[in-house]
Amino acid sequence: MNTRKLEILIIDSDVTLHSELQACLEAEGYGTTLAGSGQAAIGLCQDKSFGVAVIDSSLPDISGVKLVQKLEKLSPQTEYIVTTGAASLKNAVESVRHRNIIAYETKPIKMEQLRSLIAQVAERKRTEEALQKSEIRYRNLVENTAAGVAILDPEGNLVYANNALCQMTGYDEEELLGRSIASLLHPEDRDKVMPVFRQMLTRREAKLNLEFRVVHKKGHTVYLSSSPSALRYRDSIAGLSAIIIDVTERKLMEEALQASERNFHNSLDNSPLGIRVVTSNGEAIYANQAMLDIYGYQSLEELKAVPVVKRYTPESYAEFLERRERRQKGQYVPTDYEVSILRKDGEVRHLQVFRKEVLWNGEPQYQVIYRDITEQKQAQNLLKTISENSPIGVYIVQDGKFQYVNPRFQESTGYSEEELLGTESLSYIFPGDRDTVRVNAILMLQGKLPYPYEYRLISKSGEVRWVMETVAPVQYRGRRATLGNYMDITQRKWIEKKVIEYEELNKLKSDLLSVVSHELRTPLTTIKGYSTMIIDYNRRLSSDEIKKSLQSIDSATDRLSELVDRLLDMSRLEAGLLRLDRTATSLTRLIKQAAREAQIRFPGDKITVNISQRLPRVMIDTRRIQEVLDNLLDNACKYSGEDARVEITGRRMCQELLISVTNQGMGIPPEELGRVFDRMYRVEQRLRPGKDGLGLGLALCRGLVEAHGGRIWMESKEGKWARCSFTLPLPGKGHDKEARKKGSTRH
Amino acid sequence: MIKKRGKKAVLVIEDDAESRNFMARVLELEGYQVLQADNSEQGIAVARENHLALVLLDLQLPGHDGGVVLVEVRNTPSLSTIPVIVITASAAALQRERALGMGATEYLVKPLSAASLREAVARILSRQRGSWNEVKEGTYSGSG
Repeated sequence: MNTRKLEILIIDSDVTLHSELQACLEAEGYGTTLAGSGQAAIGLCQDKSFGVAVIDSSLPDISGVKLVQKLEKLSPQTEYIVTTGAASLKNAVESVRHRNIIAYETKPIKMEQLRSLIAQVAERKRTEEALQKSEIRYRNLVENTAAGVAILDPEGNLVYANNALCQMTGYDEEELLGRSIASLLHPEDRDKVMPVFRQMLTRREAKLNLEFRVVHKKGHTVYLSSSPSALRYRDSIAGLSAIIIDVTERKLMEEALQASERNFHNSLDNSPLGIRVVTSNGEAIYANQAMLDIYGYQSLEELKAVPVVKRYTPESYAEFLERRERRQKGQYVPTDYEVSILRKDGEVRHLQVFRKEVLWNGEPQYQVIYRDITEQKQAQNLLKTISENSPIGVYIVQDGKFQYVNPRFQESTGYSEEELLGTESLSYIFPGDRDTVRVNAILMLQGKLPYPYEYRLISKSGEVRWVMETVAPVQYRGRRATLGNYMDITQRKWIEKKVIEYEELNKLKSDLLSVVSHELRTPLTTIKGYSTMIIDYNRRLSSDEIKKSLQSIDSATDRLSELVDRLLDMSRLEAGLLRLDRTATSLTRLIKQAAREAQIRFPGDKITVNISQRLPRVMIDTRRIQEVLDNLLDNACKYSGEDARVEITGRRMCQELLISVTNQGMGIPPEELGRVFDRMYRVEQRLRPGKDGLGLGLALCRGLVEAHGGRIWMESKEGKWARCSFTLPLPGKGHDKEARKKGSTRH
Repeated sequence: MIKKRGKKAVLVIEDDAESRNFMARVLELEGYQVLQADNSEQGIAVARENHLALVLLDLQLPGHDGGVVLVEVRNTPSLSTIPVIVITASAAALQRERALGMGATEYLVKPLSAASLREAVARILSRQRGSWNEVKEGTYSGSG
């Protein structure tokens, strides 16, 4: 310890004594300074502080006591030993009034005693100095500690506050000192904290961890924790001291934690899902209200009192036992599954269950979540019932493959569910309709096609079924899928076709009327005109002219008669009343004869016959087939250009004879090829006036050929040529039956 | 074309040869000069080239419908006043309305008797005489 050397001032006019004292004290290790007079001593004390001054009371310039008084002002730390030659009561009494005069020694000075006195002073000074240092350290510690330190007087006013407390409260030291602690406290905490302080002041109790809130100068709340203790002074309580810690952060965290815990519990309690916490043994330790509501019980205890077997339907209980067994064996059990439970009131409800391990009050338990899917199940069942009984075909397609098909779908396609599921949906569509379906389905799924589209399905038996369909995007097993529903409109389509045919027939009838009226009136005009002319101008006409007129009337009559015959034939064919008078006939001869006659009718055209081999005889109505040949040859000549080349060919093709009539000329537009056999069809351009006939020609040919069990068709390259061909079956197969069938089923 | 003075020219447009011959012969016997055409184009051409008193027109002609002739005649200033008798095989009222609507003067239905033809032509030409003469004068001076 580096205690400074005690400095001693010796004030005495006796120089001998000086030396004696100096020698003695320096031998002890003290520093000594000498002053011969009071004035000299005062001068010395102004520059230097002395631990002890030894003063002669009878100095020449000043009395010892007075000098002490003066020096005390200059150096308050100094302690004095007054020496005197003659002890007097008066001096002694005066000395005592000065606290700093520690001894009063009469001369001659007893060195031993003085040395002892000074040693005591030195010792005390050392102690004081050490104390002082310690106090400074403490003070520094208190001032600079992170903890707040406060001292309250008995009235509760702050008499000390350190830096940390200033920072905690936002006030500076001046603002805090003298301030009542109550004014700093949070209003809500005043009534709680102040009585504690008062109690401590009276009962001297120490209080551990008193927490309270203080309002910061800036207005916010600061949470503080302190352990105040009573300050005792001479057995009475002088106030309270407290070390204060700012616990705001901790408090806020605690509050957040509590809030989060509250939220967690609230969310469990208030969850619309039933939640139960069970131990690994299956014992329920928590159930929320929703869970109890699902089961219809008032409390968890009530629920637990009912045996498990009575809470499940028998099937679901069996599954429960299986799950439990698997769990006990440590085998895999799905974390979500469905159960059917029996409520307290006996109602069956369907629940979806999710089970997972959680920490519950620090222990690993199982949280089981129940979702009541009864209504959903019922809706599902309802939809299923609708779908299973619907007259509409319903299916679900995912990735182009059937995932679901209802019975009606199976019925109309003829395939079973097993055959359909997992197969390509497009493969059941009529090949020509697949692209249309693809495009329409995409448009409808995009919401761009508001009305159903129609297409054809091919059933298992190969039958074509017309359907009218709508599709919608759906989720199926968690992924996008297409829900299709269609109506089988095969019947409707058939009726539609019939209606169209009927309408066409109606139009044909009126066309027939108009054509018949025109075609009939033309020869009638000739007959009426020439006959009235002959009657009216009889005398002015030459006999030659009259003969020509009568010939015109005659041929007009033939035309009329021919027209009437054709109309009758047509009607008979349509009514299925045409009787074929079949005889074995050589078609070679028939063809050659028809060509010859046509050549006479159309002398300007070149008609060639090309028969590759001898044709076998066929059983035909010779007159009718001749009619067909005449018609085809007439048409070929009529629709050719001038000086046309017309060729008629005949050959055998398997069990049929094939006869074709080809002409060079304008040909027939492709779109009209299919219509040329309609009753009233007539190519619009009539290049050879006067040669046009009734549109019945080709229609009649078809009727006659089909009545013989043959087929007839037209081919053409527009602008180049046209070829009409027909077949006649060779004997061997039942041609009569064939003929009847054709006659009765043709539409 | 050489014309016989004093004879009125009548154009017969009809595709059926027999029917056309009959009408032409009756009109010749009645003292008209008769011109013939068997289709619309030819009919229009003849009408433009000749000074006609009357046109007999069959509505059902090959190629273009006879209506084309009617429209053409009515829309050509030099021809517009020529009376046109439409002849058709249809007695339907609709056809009649259509023909009269397009400017036909008279409407006859096949089969025609010599008398009905004769009387219709005579009736129309006598009715048209006044205006006809004026046109005749003007046209003659123009054609030289």
